[in-house]
Amino acid sequence: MKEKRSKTLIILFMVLTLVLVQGCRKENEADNRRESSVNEVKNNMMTIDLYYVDADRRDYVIENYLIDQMATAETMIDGVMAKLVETDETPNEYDSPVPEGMVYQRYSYDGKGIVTIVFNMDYENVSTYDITICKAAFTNTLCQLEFVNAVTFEMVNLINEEEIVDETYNENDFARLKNVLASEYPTYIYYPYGDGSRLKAVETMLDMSQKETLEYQIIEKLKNANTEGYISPFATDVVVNYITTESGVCTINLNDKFLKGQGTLDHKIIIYAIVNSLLSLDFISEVHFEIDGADGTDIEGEDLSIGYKADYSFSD
Amino acid sequence: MKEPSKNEEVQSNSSEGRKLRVSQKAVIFIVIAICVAIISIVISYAMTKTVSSKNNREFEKDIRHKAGYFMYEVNNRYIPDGDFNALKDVSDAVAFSVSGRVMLMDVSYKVVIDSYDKDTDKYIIDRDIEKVMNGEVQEVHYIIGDQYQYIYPIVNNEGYIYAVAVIAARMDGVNELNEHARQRSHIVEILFIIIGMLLAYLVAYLSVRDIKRIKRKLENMKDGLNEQIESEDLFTESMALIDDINHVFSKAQLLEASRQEFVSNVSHELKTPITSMKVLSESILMQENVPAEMYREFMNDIVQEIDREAQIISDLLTLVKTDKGTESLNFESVDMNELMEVILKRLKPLAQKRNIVITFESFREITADIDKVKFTLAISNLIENGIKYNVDGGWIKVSLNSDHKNVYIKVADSGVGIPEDCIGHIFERFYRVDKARSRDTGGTGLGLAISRNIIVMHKGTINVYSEPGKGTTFTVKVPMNYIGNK
Repeated sequence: MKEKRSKTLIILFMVLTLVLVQGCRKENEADNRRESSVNEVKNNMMTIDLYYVDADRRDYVIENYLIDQMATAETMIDGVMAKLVETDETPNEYDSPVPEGMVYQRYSYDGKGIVTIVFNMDYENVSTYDITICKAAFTNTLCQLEFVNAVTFEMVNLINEEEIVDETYNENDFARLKNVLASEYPTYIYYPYGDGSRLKAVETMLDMSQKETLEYQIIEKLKNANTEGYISPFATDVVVNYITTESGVCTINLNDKFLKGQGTLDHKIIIYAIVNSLLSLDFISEVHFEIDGADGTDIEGEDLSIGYKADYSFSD
Repeated sequence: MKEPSKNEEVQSNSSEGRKLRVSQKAVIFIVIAICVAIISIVISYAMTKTVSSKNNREFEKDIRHKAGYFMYEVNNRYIPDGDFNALKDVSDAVAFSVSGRVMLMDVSYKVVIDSYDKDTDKYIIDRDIEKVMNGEVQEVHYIIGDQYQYIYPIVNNEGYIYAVAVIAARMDGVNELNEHARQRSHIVEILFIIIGMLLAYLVAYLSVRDIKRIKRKLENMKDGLNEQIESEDLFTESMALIDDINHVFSKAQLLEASRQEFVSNVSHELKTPITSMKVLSESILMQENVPAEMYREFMNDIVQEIDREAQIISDLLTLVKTDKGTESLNFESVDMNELMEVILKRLKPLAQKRNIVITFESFREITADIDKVKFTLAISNLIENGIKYNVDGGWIKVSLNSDHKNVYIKVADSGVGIPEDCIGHIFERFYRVDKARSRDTGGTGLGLAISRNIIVMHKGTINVYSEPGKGTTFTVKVPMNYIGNK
């Protein structure tokens, strides 16, 4: 009797464990499904994510959509737009991102990567968030197509049709509040190495939570290149007065000791170690040098007054 | 008694072997250990929870304090329709102080300040931010893993929400504190469990210590029931138990002594007539040409001895049966007056031989539930003793009375009386005050013992009062209606 009872208990325990594990697994699967899926390409059919909104219009609901890669751009966009705009076929769990108060009119594709979508807007009956999530949904969906770089929204005021607002977005213009404290920023530092005639690109993680800006962190890493086994492009008496970025242009202000160079390093190696490293930050498109606040100072014949762009010919 | 067969023995042994023998010490130890372990775990959990909650509350309070400071700075520095850039240093300072991130969204859900500079100028899609922005909720705060997120509105003096701030902070520090607290409480918990187990072992040991000691004392008893167990080194409860055991031993000793004495007495009483018979027989055999008259005389004596032996055996049987109480009483409703008349009528001729006058006094009609045969024997013995141990020409007064509960019978005689030092023994078996006189009168020494047993079986009492030379009075009291199992 006791033995029978023990066996029954063991079997019950195993069943319970299995049920719990299945439940967790299903939960994980559900979580995975809500995240953006990897675009799979199979037999010319590509899977993209359609961004709908949930029942209370506060968050995305992502559904997979198969698209024929061999179709024309317009055909593909037609299909996507039809899916997003049409409301009759959506189940109760999610809805078209077009809210009440916004009426979809038409779209156009310029053949150069911009899709323009025209909406009529009743601004009094639509909330700012509804407009934002609608734009985010269309932008995130369309920018998955490789020939679409950005989406322009043309909002025509229903009351005053003269009032038209044009705004262009790409997928980088929208963000979620997820992994808020994920502060690692991967980048590349270009260190002079060996005999100093070449640069080596080393992948590095910067920390966005630090007090120092990302630009400053890069400069610090270049200064401390010796600890990594590389050559620093900065002499020990070189001081960075300040480093700022505005509208994609990064300005680095150094003291005049910078003009003396660094040992036997070629001045181009010194310049492009700094420039290439800073330009690995995606919000910087150009680097300017200043010496004690002034432009136009030469370093061994190199004109520092120009705006520098990356040159990877020195890199391995 | 039939010996158990081999198969029965094997079955018996194996069934005994299958029985689980449970040690009291082990049970006490396990029960106390489990209780202590459970209590330790519960206390440890409660302590950890309390400390963690306190740490989390302090942490949250700190975040809210900094959030309040940030809102104050935003309200003071923000220029309406201007930009928020002037607040970048404040946001960076707050972010650094919480080892986290500060973000500020304007009414279009655009990130205007981001201490990470990661999402600046991006539009945030988040349900909690939307709820806070439209005033549906006052604030949102939650913990995800080791991160704490606090979303709250920036409200101007008119109560208008013009921005939403998000402060995300790492809980590494507070988690570390909580982990330390958890580890410390685990250590305390383990210590408690160890101490508890030691305590459990001590309690278990003490609880069975006396049992082991008593067992050892019993094993060491060589003289059996004649010894008494010593109880000085035991707990009070065990001492009380030992006292009871010793009392049982004493009673057993008394019973054994009584049994030995009884056997001895029985042997002696039974042997005496046989010895007399042997002597008489040998005397006659040794003589030659014994006249017939002498043979007759000797044979009469032998017959008397045989009668005596028979009487002793009969009395013994009666006594044994009444002693054990195995004889069942046949209760019937008896007219006591009539019963006494019958008894006296039978015994009067015996009394008349010695000119002893027997008078009977009855005060009322009495009917009682008694075993007629046995009760007759009991009262007859008393009256017969009154005749045997009386003087010639003496008297015996028998009275019968009752109240609403009991029947009272008094037998008083003018006999030789019983000395004071013998009164306590007269109900003992084979006890005779004057052995020579008893023998002459044919007494076996069992009559009063039999009478007492019968009266006790009727749930009654018998008392005696006597003065040497003046006489003896026996007073018998029995319930009118028998009390007890019939």
